[in-house]
Amino acid sequence: MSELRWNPQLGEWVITATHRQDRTFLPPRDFCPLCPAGKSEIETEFDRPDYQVAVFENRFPSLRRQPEPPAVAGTELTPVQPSAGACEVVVYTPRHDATAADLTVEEIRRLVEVWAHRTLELGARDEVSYVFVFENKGESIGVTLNHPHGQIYGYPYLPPIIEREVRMAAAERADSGECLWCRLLAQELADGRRLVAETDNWMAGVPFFAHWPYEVHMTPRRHVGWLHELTGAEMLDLARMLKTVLLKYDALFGFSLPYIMAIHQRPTEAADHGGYHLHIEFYPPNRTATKLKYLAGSEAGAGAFINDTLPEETAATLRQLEPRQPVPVE
Amino acid sequence: MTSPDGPRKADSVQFRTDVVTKSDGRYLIYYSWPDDALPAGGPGSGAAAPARPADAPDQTPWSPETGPPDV
Repeated sequence: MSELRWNPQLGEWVITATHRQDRTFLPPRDFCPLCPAGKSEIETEFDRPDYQVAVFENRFPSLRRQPEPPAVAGTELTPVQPSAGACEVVVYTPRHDATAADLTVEEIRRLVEVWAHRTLELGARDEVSYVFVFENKGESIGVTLNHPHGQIYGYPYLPPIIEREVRMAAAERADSGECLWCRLLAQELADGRRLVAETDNWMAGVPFFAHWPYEVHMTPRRHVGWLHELTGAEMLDLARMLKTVLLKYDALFGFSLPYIMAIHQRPTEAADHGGYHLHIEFYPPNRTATKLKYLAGSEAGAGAFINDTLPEETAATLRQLEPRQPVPVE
Repeated sequence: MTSPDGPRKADSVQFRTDVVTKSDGRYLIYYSWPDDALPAGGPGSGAAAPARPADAPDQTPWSPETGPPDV
């Protein structure tokens, strides 16, 4: 059963998806459903002995092309809607034990192309208002499959954080006539204390207002809204930047660092969101090698984040880790 | 994709897609880059792929001229 239920307290939709309780949970390597055909003891998602990058509809989707009618009746106060949309899985590589940091720059660049292509495809669907590309990495984040992969959701509405960003960007444009992220970018480049890495086309840094100790945002210098607007050079630079930051993350505590990666692109619904600027956010849950940042009372109950670290200090730590310069193209 | 400011397609994409419809109706898309020297049966070679379903799109590379394949 799956449906959208309206929360009138917060003015947002909640997706119920009870079938996801049955999804595969941390299978051993020999039973991985994301390995190529013949590389697993079970029938995998694939019918080929190898692949480069593959995308498929999630077997346990929260949103789907042809959703079932809602299982409960809504009211005027708490309406329900079918869970229309899209849920895709993007498998980065056939190599089960790799991580995104292990991919070559060229392999990551190709992955960026796939993300861009899926954004175009899903964004063209009538039922999709927002295409969200993301990755959950690591068991402390809650991944159920360790094979390197990410996901793409096509929401039938603007998710709350994106809606809020769109609203703040519009307000900034009305006030200053400028793009919110272009202003942030200029401020961070001028200040320099929170920078982690720079290329000709991208900047990565710990935001002034970071929620998480080692949160990193990547922003293209040029004002673009979607990945598919990037030039070839900008895509290649993004691949270099992604690998650089992921290698720094893995060097931080000496193990492959868990994280959430959230690619914030412009909404695809028919409205003027020209002020929205593409950016990529990483939220690693670790505040030390052995301690995690939990969403506790203030964060979960009041939505007020408390960061136990200074972004200027965590950025300096990340900046000084290898690789100190953006990785070159192999 | 209907935002008024209009997206522009990237200028460097050269991949191919091969779409397979799974037995439960879900689609599966293999992305491959033809510049790779692929071994027989390797990724993107299509050697082990089943026949393309009649309703699946052609394996047309995405380019600014042709646009993305229809999946």
